[in-house]
Amino acid sequence: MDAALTASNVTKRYTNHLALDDVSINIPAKTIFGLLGPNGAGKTTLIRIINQIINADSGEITLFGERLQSKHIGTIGYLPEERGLYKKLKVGEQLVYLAQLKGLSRKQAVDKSRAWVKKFEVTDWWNKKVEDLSKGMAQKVQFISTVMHEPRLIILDEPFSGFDPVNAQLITNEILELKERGCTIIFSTHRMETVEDLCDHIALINKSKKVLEGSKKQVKQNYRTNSFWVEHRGRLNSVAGQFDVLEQKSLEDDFYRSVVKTDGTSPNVLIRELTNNTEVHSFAEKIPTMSEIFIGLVKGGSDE
Amino acid sequence: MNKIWLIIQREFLNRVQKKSFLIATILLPLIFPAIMAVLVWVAIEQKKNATKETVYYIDESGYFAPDTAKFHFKQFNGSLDDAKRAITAVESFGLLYIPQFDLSNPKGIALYTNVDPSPSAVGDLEQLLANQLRDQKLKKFHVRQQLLDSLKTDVNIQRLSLAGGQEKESDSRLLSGVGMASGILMYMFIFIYGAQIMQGVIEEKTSKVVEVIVSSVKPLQLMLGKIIGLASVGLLQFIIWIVLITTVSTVVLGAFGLQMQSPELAAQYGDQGGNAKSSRCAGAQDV
Repeated sequence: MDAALTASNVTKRYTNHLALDDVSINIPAKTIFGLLGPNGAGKTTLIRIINQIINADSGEITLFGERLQSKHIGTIGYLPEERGLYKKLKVGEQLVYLAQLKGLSRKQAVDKSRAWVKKFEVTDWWNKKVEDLSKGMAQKVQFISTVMHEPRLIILDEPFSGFDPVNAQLITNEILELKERGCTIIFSTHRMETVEDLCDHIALINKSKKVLEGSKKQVKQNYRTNSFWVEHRGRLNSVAGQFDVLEQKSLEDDFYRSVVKTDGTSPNVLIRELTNNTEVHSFAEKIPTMSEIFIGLVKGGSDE
Repeated sequence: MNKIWLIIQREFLNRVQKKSFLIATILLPLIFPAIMAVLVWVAIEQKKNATKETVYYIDESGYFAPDTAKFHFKQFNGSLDDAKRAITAVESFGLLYIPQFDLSNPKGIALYTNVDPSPSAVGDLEQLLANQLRDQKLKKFHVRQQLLDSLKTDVNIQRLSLAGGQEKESDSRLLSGVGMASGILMYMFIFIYGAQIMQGVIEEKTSKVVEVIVSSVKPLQLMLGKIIGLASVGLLQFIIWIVLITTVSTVVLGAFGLQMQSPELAAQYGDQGGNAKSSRCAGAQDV
């Protein structure tokens, strides 16, 4: 798969701390890439380097096979975490101005903004000042300004904060549509359910270092714990050498739900073993959620 | 380059479309002549209404001749102590006490007042006395009045400028006034617009919009665009002001200012004439 963006050995040092330490990331084209990490890990620094707001001390970034340079500004759309628009400017003027700054001609900019405003059903905001809009409304305007110039790479920093569920759904659909059209999207977020739903690939940055990278499926595969959800009738006890019951929760009547862990035996063997001990009603592998992987890695990292 | 131009346009339109710009641009040229007119008016009214203060005096020297141009003088007959007592009871500016003194070394002249006198009033009195003493001395040296009068010669230099290859009457006072006014304006201009640029940067920083902007343009371009944009707003405002102020001022001064200036000037000349006459009279009396 073609890489939309490759960062190799990127290092950035501020006066008294290292923001990025030899980070290499490969973002495949036409995917949604989740850039994860706890607060202060260095995500925003990396994003700013990609946006050419700041320069890396060392390392190289390639965008669609070319070394990152100022002509790439128009191919990137950036939605910063700290949202901001000119408060005194009208929505229409604002969109046109920001699109022009990205390199569109005035006519293109006007046409595109009109089209997007119509698409988001906010045509009647055109002549309203941004300061008169609610936070969610302003977010929508900002999202439009991010994607309006049809960038090939879209960077979204916490795109859902401030949106109600209806608008969050609207944005989600829009993101998926953009991906269909061939855009590469970098997501920086703390909301693991978003990652779970949308991302194809992820990278986890913790304490300035990349600690994990890969497709979501692959990552989950790597972090399997050989645990299974079992619903059964009657209590279940661990059988030494076969399985351990990690937790057990009473459901109703005589039913229970347990987490059972083996040391690598196949599910079939486990089921056989379980049926000997109890009446099994359901059985499923407990695949780790992104949230669990995230917490495990970040906490594990900080314990060292 | 293109992006700087965009930013210049944005900044320019932003400021020009603001109501505050319109108000400042239109009102200021009206306020300026209005303030000038009010000042002139107040000065004239003051001059008209100014009542002369009454000064009581005791003259033991015999040199003093009351001059009524700036004060009403009333002689007080009696001792200094009586006069001091009397002065606190009567509404008057004060008591001028002139003792017997040697003409070459006047000492002991005193002014008793109920309230602190203004420096200009004291100055006027001192000037008055000094003039009279000078006249007295000249007389003592047998200088005749005609000679004294003929000593005063008015010299008036006609100022002609050769700049531009043409002989032109120039008014250096007017020119220096214009120079000073433009200096003040320039100072204010730099201050106000410098502060506005700073304010603009602060606004972008606090509204966080700067992150979006610097991901599209270089910070240098943004700053340059801001400065040039705002400077052109300032220049536009300046040009409008100059045009408006000159037209309004000519209209106002033409209709109303010239009328006012003449009585003021007349009053001044009248004062000077009065002064000269009375001092001459005083001199004549003594001779």
